[in-house]
Amino acid sequence: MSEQLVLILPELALTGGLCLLLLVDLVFPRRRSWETGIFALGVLGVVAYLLLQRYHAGPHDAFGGLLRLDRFAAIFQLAITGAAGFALFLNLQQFRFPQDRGRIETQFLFLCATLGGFVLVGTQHLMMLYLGLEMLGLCSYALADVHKRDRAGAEAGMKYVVYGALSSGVMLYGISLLFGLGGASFAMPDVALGINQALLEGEGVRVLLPTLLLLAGFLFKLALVPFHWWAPDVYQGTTTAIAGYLAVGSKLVALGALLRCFAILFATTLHGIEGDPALLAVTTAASEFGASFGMVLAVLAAVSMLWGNLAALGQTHLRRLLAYSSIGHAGYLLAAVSLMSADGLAAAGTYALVYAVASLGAFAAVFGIAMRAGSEDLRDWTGLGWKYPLASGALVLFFASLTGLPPTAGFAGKWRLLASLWAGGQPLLALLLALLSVVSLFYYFRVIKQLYLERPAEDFRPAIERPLPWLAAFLLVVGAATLALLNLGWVDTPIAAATADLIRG
Amino acid sequence: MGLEAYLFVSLLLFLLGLIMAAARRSLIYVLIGLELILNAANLNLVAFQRFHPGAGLDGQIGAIFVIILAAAEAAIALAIVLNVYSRFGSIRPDDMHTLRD
Repeated sequence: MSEQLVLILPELALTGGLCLLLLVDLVFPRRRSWETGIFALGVLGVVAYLLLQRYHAGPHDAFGGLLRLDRFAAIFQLAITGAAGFALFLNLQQFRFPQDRGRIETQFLFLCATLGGFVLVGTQHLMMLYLGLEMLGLCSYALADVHKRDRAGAEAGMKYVVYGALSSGVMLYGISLLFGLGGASFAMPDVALGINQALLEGEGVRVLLPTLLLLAGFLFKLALVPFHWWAPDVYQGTTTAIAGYLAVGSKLVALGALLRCFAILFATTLHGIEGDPALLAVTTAASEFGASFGMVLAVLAAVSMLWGNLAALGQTHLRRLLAYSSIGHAGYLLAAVSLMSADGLAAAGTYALVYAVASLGAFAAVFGIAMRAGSEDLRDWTGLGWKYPLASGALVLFFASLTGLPPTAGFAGKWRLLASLWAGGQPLLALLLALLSVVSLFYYFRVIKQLYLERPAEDFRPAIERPLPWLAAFLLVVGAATLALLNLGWVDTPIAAATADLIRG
Repeated sequence: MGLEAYLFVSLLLFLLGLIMAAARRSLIYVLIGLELILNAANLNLVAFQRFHPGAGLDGQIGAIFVIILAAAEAAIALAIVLNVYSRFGSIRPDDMHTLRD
């Protein structure tokens, strides 16, 4: 038993940190607002260190297959830890609701949601998957509603909880059907055997229906059509810290869990069963199913890409704009997944990390400029680019990465996506992706034009005068990461290798 | 009674839940619809386990977890509904239009 506990040290550290955080609030009720924030960041630092060890430790099954702790899990868990650190950090400085700054509930919810994300991405057991998704989801619903003094905040929380609870309910129904398909077992490898059996008997519907229902929960978390309605409203209604966490942390772990689900459930579709002619029929049936299921995913991906990029064109609220752009990016990710091939899954994992870094930076830069302008509306940002060169310059860099322009990581990530789409027999999706990247230049450039090419208003008074050294340091680090990750696309990246491990099983 | 009978009832529950939620009459309706969906899944879990004897108790235990989660979800959702009511004076989803394009 004790060696099992050693395996889940990162989760234990996070849980311990959570409990201590609540105790601190009880013992020191009149603490300064930033003290617990520093403590929570410290907990995340310890967790990140333990996760690095998990990355090097090699794959382990813990608690009878309830948790699967491998490199793939460690990478995505590190990513959501980073996103939580970012959110805690911005939350300490947020200005929209000064009375809520450094509130312990918010910090607790960030850590708790991160714990849910750890479970979500570190399991190949369908019930644990659902529990992780719900833990992440319930904390996110509360986070979206945490600034409830404001009408927009209340509405954002309401929309998030209604859509989120419904989609996870639908997902659970899909899980319950897969449970039957796998012969009363939640373990994904068992379910995969059941899927092969059903496909061999020519009953593709019995596989397709539960898988589509299972997909609902992921589509919601990734904000993909037809479960994307909440994203713009929720991002706009909360603060930048929470919106950034939802756009980066929650999306990343959902994508990680989706990749793992597909890699195990459709292992036969992905690489067939080699060497055994008796099993050729299974391989054929599985690849036929993969082709038709991939078609459904490709349509969803194409609609998401189009919707996100076209709706972003007319937005003036920066967080709303980022929300639509993130819907488009989730569409790119799903396009790679829709190939139903090992290469496609690896490309999706790689692009997810590239997108996460750029998106994190963009949220931080928007936060920095909005703090000076006192508003997230583009019309109040006229000519601020020359006044605040660091935040504005960083925003240009991150927008370049989101568009996919060299010399940023976005270029390499998109190149990888396009290459795998082209090679995987989806040239139309590749063309659409390239075209929409050009469209996305328009709305990103509109922001840059407003910042640099317009004259600032004569009576402009910054909402906050004092320098923000921490934010500047953060932007420099993330900006450097965006440039340094450029070679991520063409070398054998850790994430691609981890995905390949996953598919080999 | 065979497995099909249980699956049929659970499908009925699931569809009723979806219809209730999609009608968007009031947030309470939506939450009740959600409960129906979760319980449809529970019925499936327990029924599948019953018709696969000797495979352990995963289905029943899973159903207990879902019941607990449903309670937690209802608690958070109702707190949010209460807050929405105090801001808007209504719990009809169609009455809320602060955020839109």
